[in-house]
Order: sequence, then C-alpha cells, then structure tokens
Amino acid sequence: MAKYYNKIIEQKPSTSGFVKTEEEKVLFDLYKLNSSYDEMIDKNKQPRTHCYPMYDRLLKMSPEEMEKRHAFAHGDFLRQGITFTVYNDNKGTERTMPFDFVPKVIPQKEWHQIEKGLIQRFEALNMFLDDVYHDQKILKDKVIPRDLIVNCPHFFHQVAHIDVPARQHIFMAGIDLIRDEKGEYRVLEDNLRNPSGLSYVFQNRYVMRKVYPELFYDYSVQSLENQFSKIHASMSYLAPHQNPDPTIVLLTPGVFNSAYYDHSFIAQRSGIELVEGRDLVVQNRSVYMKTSRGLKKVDVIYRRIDDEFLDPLEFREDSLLGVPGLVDAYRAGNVSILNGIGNGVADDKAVYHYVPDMIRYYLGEEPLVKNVDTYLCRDEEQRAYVLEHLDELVVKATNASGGYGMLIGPHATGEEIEKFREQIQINPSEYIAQPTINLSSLPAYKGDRFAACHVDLRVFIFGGETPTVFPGGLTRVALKEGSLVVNSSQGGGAKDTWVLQDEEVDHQEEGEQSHA
Amino acid sequence: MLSRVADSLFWMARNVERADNNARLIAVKLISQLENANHQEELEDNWEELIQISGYQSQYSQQYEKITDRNVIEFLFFSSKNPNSVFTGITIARENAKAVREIIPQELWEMLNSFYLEIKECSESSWEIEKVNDYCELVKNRSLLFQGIVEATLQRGDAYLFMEMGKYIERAEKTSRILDVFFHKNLESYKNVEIVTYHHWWSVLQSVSGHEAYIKTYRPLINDQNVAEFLIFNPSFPRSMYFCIQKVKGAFEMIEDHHVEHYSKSLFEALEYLENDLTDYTIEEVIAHGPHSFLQSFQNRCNKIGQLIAKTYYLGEVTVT
Amino acid sequence: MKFEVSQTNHYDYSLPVKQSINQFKLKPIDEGKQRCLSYTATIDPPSETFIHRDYWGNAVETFYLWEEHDFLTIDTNSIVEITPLEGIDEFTLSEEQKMAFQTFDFRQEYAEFLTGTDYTHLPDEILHEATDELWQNSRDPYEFVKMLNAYLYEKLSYRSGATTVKTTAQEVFEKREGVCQDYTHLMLALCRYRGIPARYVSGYIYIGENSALRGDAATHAWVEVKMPGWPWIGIDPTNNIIVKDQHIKVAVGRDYRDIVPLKGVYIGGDQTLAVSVSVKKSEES
Repeated sequence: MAKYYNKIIEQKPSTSGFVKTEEEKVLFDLYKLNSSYDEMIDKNKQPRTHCYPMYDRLLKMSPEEMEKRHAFAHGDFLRQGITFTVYNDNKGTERTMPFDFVPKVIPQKEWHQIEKGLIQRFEALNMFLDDVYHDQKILKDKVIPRDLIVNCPHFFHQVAHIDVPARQHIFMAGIDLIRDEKGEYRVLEDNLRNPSGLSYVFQNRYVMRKVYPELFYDYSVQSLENQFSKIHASMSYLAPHQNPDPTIVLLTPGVFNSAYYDHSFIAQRSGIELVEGRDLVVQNRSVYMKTSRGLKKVDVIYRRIDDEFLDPLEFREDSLLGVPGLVDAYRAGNVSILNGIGNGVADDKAVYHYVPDMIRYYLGEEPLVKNVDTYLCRDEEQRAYVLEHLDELVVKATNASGGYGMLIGPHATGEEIEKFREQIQINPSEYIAQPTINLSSLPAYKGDRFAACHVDLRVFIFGGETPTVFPGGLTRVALKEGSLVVNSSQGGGAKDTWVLQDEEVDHQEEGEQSHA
Repeated sequence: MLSRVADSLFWMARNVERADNNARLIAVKLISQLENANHQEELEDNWEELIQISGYQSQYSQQYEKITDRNVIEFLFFSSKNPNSVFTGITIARENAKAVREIIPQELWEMLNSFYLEIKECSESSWEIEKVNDYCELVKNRSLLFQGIVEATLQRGDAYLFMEMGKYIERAEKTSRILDVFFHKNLESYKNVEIVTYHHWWSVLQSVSGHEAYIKTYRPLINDQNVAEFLIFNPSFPRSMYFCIQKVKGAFEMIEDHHVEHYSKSLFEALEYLENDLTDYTIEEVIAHGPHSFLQSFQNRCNKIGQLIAKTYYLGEVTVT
Repeated sequence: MKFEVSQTNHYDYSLPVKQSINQFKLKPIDEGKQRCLSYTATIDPPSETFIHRDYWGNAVETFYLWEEHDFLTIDTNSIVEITPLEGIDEFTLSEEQKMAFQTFDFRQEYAEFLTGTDYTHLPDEILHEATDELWQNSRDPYEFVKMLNAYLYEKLSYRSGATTVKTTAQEVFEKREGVCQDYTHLMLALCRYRGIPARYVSGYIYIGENSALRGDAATHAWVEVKMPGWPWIGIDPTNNIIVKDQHIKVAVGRDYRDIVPLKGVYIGGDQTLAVSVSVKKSEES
C-alpha cells in the first residue's frame, strides 16, 4: 500500500472519512455521481485510496476560508497578467483561465502506464512524419490510404525530403487524454503543431503552493522545477550540425496572440530570446536576428506560428508574421524549426484513427493507451452509420480545433443535428465521429459545495536524446456542470495535476515535503 | 539585445514618464484653480494652457465643444482618443512591458500591469472630479515606484540604458514644453500682476516638483528669469533640461562603450550639439533672443534625437515584403 | 527534335530594393522522352543559386541579393531533345484498363492528381454541363479526353490579358475566355472529375513556321493525363492537339501554384517585369 495512505492513518488514527460530519454534509452531500467515472469518489460514495488525505483536508476547510482563498488565487492570476485573449467580433478581450483548486492526483503506478503509452505513441508519430515526408513506406504498404495523407491540407509538400536534425519532427507534443466510464485512459487527440498551455501548468502549481500549501502536506508530488533545464537540453539536442552551444529563440506572432503569455513564459524560463518575425532575416540560407549591435545568427527556432504563416515565399504570401526564406534555411539544414513544419498531417482528426496502426507498423507493438473509437465519414459504410446515429455521437470537423466545429449529439438541438447532417453529406471527408464518452469527473469548487465536473488531461512529451514525459500536465475542467467541453475558449478552467513520487524516492524527499 | 526589445524598453520608460508629467501638470493646475477660485478669467486660460502643453489642441476641439473642467480632465487623463493622455501613456507602457516581460524584472511587469488595471477601472467607472487629485497622486506614486523598481532590480546593461534614454529624452522635452507654454502667456493684462506672476511661476516649479530645490538656490524670489535658468541650466536638478540631456548622453556613451562608430556618429553629434547649446548660452541671452525660439529649437532637436536613436539601433523598423 | 531555348526575365524597380530572396523553376525536365542536354542560369547582379528538387520532381533554384539594387535579370539557356511518344493519336483502352480507373490502388497512386484545388474547384452544375454528354458519347476515357480537348478549344476564346494568374477554372468557364493557364485549369478540373488523373505542365511551345499554333512568345501551359499502362500523355487544349515533340516541359504539379516559374520577396519599390523567350530548332540535329 502506498505510503501516503499509511502516514495518514498513523497521524490521525481516529479521524474517519467514513462517518459523515456536518461539514461533509454541506460540501459533499449534493455531490452527484453519474454514469461517468469519478476520479475522487467511488460508487459507494467513498474517497478512492489515493484521494483520501485530500478529501480529508477539503472537509476541514471552512466555506468562508475557501471563498477567501478562491478570490485571492483569481486576483493573483489577474495581477500577474496570466491571461489568454478571446476574440469576439475582432475585438480581443484578455481573460484569466478559471482555476479550480482541487487537484487531479495521479498515483505513480498509473502514471508509469501513461508515460509508457505516450512515449510509444510519440515515437510512432515521429516515425510516421519522417516517413511521409520521405519514402512514404506506410502509404506504399497500404496501411493508411494514401489520399488521406497527400491530400490532407496539413501535408506540406514544400518540406518533403528535408532531413531534420536527429530525424525528430516533434519537439513538443501535447496529447489529450480522457478516462472512459471504466476509468481507463484513452487518447482523445494528438497536438503536434503548437500545443499551448505549458505555462498554465506551472502557474497552477505556483498558485496552489502559495494559496493552498496545506493540501501538499500529505503527498509528495513530483516537482516541475527542473523541467526547463530538460526542455532547454532537448532544444539544444535538436540544433543543426550538432552545435553544442546553439542560439535558440522562440518565435511568437506577438503580444496580441491569444497564447502570448505562454510564449513569454517559456522563453523567459528556458533562457531563450523571444522574437517576432520582424526580428529575423534570412541571408544566404542562414537565419539572423536583428539586435541593437547588428545581426546575430540563430540556430534553433521554437516557433509558435502556424506553418502557413512561417514563410511568405513558400506559404501564404500575405503573411506578415513570418520570415521570408525561412524554409530555404531549414532545407539547407542551417536552422532547426521546432516543431517541424508539416506536423499537422499526423494530428489530423481523421489520421488519428490510424495511429494505433502506425504503432503496430513502425514499432511492432500493441498500443498501450487506446484511442477513442472513431468513424471516418469519408468511408461510405461508416458514414451511413454516423448519419443514422447523429443524436448519440460526437461529430468533429477535421480542420477545426478548440472545441469549435463540433456537434455533441446527445446535447444538440434537432436543428443543429440537421445542419451537421447536411455538412457531412456535402464534405464527408472533413468529418469524423466518435461515441459520446462521459469524461471522468473530479470535484470542483462551487462556492457553497463541490460539484462533479468533467475533466481531461493534456500531457506534454518532449523529444531530444530520449523522449520524456512532463510529470503532470494541464487538467482542463468543464466548470459548467454536465458540460463536456473543457476548452478554455468555451468556459473551461484548469486544475493542478499531481504526479506522485516513486515510493523509493519518497523516503528521501520526506524532509522536504513537510515545508513544501 | 533585439532591436525590437530595445525599442519597447525605450518606449515603456518614455510613456511612464509622459504619463507622470501629464499627471503632475493636471494636479498643479487643479491646485492653482482652487487657490485662485475668484479669478474667473483665469480658469479657461489655465485649462487651455494644459491642452497646449499636451500638443493636441485639434484633437480636443474635435472631441469637445467647450472647455470645462470635466472635459479637459477627461481628455488629458482618461481619454483613449488622446494619444497623449495619462491613460494612453500607461496603456502603451503596459503593452511595451508585455512585449518584453521576459526581459524585465517580474515585479516591474506586475507593477505596471496592476497600475494599468487600476487606472482602467477608474476610467471605466464614472470617475469623480473631486478625486482627480487622488488619481494624479496615484500616477505620480506609481511612476516613482516604477523608477524605484528599475533602480533596485534591473541589471545595469543595455536594457537599463535604453530605458534611461527614453525616460530622459521625454523629460527634457516635457520640461521645455512646460516652460514654453508658461512663457507664452501674457500676464500683463491682469489687475494684480505681481501676485499672478508669482502664482504662475510657482506652479511651474510645482509641476516639476522643483519648488524646494529652487528655493534652496534662489530663495523665495520667484520670477521668470530665475525659474527658466533653473529649469534649463541647473546641472543638478534631475528635471532640468541640461541634467536630462547629460543623462541621455551618458546612457548613449555607456551603450557604445565610449567609442563612436560610423553608425552611431550622427547620434553622437546631435547630442554634442544639444549639450553645447546648454553650456554655451546664458539665461540672459535666452531671454534677450526670445525664449520661445530657444525652446522650440530645443524641442525640435529632442525629436531629432529620438529619430536618430531609432535609426542607430534599428528601433521600430518593420520589414515590408 | 532538338531545341535551343532561352528566356530572359528582367525586373526594373521604381526605388532601389534590398534583402531580396527569389525562387525560380526554369530548368527543363530531364526525364522520359525529354532530355535536357545543357542548362545554364545567369543572374545579374551576380548571385549564387541553391538548387533543390521539389515534391513533384522539379528543379527549384533559390538566390539571395542582400545589397541594394535597382534591376534584376535572370537569363536561362538550355538545349533540349524530345522524342515523340508513339501511338498516342489513336488507341483504345482495353476493358481491363478501363476498369483500372476505378480501382482503389490506381486512385490511391494518383491521389494528388485526382483531387480538387483552389484553382480547379468547380460546382456540380458546371461539371455536369461540361462533361455529361461527352462522357456518354465516348467509348473510353482517352476518347473522352480528346473530345474534351476539342470541346474546350471550341468553347473558349483565346485572349491574352482577359485573365490573371489568379483566375480559377470556374471564372474561366463563366467568362469563356482566357490564356493557356486557364484552358489548362479548366481541363484539369473536368478530367479529375471523371476520375482521370491529370496534372499541370508548364513549359515552352515551338511555334516555328506553323503560325496557327497558339501560345505567345513566352511560356506555355498544358495538361498531362494518365491512362493505365501508358506514360503521362500531354494534351494541349489551347491548341486542341496531342503533345508530340514541340512542347518543352519545364515543371509539373497539381495546378499553377505548384509550378510558379518565378517568385520573390524583397524590401523596396514597385517592380515591372519584362519576359522574353526564344525557342529555336537546334542546327546540329
């Protein structure tokens, strides 16, 4: 049995979570469990083993105290300007991401499974990208229909045959996981282009440590602090010509981009320059940045600008965000671009369906973390099924993200369903469908009580010498009760994510956690 | 340092300074308004002067029909349509800070961000005219805090030096502009010329927080010549034009490590030229030739220096494809 | 047949330009029935070029001019030899070949050349109007292609200046006029709709004494179609002919966007471009 559990029992032998107190009545009595998997409370209304100390602490906090701290945490985000920009009618409004303080706690055993599964997936996706931009063996062997790939709007023939350093196309992947009704983790989506949200992972942790320090007392949580040196090492490893001391920059669209905070945070913490397209020039196939003392050569660009806007010479001519000639410098091998150009072909929503096949094809292994069942509307039979079951399925446009262009059948009106039916019939290949999965839930603070709100988890995986999984991630929560949409642009919030320490290290770190 | 970053730092410091100066002027005018409440004729003149100092008379007349306390204060303090208002200055400074937040100390960004949120809240809620003085105090205090954080936490490197340049070029120009407007005003028509003159120049000194320092130098003898000498030539008062130009030049020399290269030559020369003007002339000569032309030419040179800084360090250059 | 081809592209700028980056696809293809025996590219102001092959196999050259300049000239000279493909005027596809068009493997192999693009997208009504009758009256897809060739030749009037490089197939169909690029885009759209892989070819046409052939003194464009068991066959709808040995291929792709002969980005004044092309029969043959 895990140590944290023993410790609690030792310390508070007489405290019992199994007897209802007055407070518990107030906070948890209205807690409704439905058919989805609740990550804290089991079917018998008892806290799960690893959640027991947390549950206990929550019961001890008075509602007034909670209210006070909640307001403080919110103010902290605002004051620090940890915001994202929401665009409505072309007008940008800065908003903070709503934060809920009940963390998602992942026991280390469970985490090891996730890690293994995601590294497997990461490797297969990377091999797939290298393959489709070179020999296209997987297409020749008919594992994936060729037209799905070569006619995918995110397949960029401009970067075919380019050998990227270490053949790594993915520097950072953000893989979204959900848990099904049985609590099994499944991959919902791969993000291999510009996954955002890493800064929130850190900020959520900082706020938790500052505002809710006592919640950490009973757990030893894996630290995030040393992660930036790993991230920096990973960027350096991917530098051209194995340059041991490369100049690395983060290329942002600028201060008005919705994820600007993310960009500036990562640049600052990894000790790399934050640049905009207008700060860079390409001269004779090398990239330079304009400094107050002249031009300085750049080796690695961690870019947060979409492919289409990177280089007006090769992609959209009207792009003012990019750098003319960048692709030529990339082709010449004089600059690394992270994530690689053209990665979108591997995280396309229809290609997703084939990721388990990629794992079998390239690695000869069975996928450790399963996909969600997916119906491709481009296939006649599957389309027929989808059209018949629109009111039960989730339908997604393959080219939309952020929860837009999505139909959640069971929650949709007849009108919405008919609109999608029509769209699917006109452009079948642009839609996929999945069964509606009741995402798992966790308690979220609702002022006077806790409510079970649906969550998912974005996990970040980094390339480099060996792929590593960032210990934790961004737990997104649909704060509207019953809602399945966790996207921040649509009313979702965030939670801190705790990955518990290995038991071996647990003992050594014990002294530290007591004053964490 | 990236040219764009240097540009943002320069303008961040410059805009904080600008907001500060504007707030000071409004505060001083308000006080003199209260003290001279009987001189009805002075009221409108007073506000008109302020609009002149801001340099945006035409914007004002487009936006408002009449000169009233509320209109003027709204225009100078809260209006986002006035490119020179206190609120605009803070907004721009905060945008600049946001663009370089990974370069500047975290406290500095948080301070500017909260400052912006505070003023924004005032401007959105219906602000009260009785509280304008409080708003001005707030701006002054925040500007001092800003400078304090910079002094206490920012590494003395290019970032610091570009901010110095921005702050002092703005301050030099503003001091000159204030003097110019006050000289411009004809006081002879007033009944009690002596008292009016005294108040007039006293408020100039107040607006630059220079009244204490002035009295230590000149005793409480307040006249145009002494005040002008103090604000133009005094080598140790941190808001005098001479002092500010010395600071700009000092920052430039540090950035260039005391060498002048071909690309920085014209900036160096322009700074030398301006400095010579301030050491070669005396206040008597300035008054004799007419202070207006002297101050105008000073402001033009400041503008020129601003442009040369941009050119020398590629600031603000945008690639057009 | 052997040809000497030379092309001069000359840019004049209204104000000096700098930091210029340019890319061109002007080298004739050296493959199959066409051999590129020699090729040179000269740039003034002088600059080194960097060559790579794009996804479609075309040679792409990139060069940089950092310093200020007020003109730019790109001169290319090549000698090309072409052997005509035999038996393409008349042949009939076997039943098996006809069936092949609909097979999964065939459609997958040529997926890029069966899909719609921004240039070639056409609404259903036009697709039906233009192809239904021809399709019913042709005994096989190859005959359909030839009939389509004649149909477009009749239907459209050739008029230079009627369209721009951005004109789409739909606009061409509605305006009923255009130049070689427009004939090509429209034909690509109609072939692909009927499941015939078709690609865009840019190049030159040798007009010689035969002044009846269209295609101005500059570059030309036409279509290549894929018939099972055959190499790509050139079809020139602007002239209603099947391509033999008077068409010199420079680049292939899905549409104009893939073969843009010359493009660049720079800082500075407006540009004016003058292009001159000469295609001569080589003396030594």
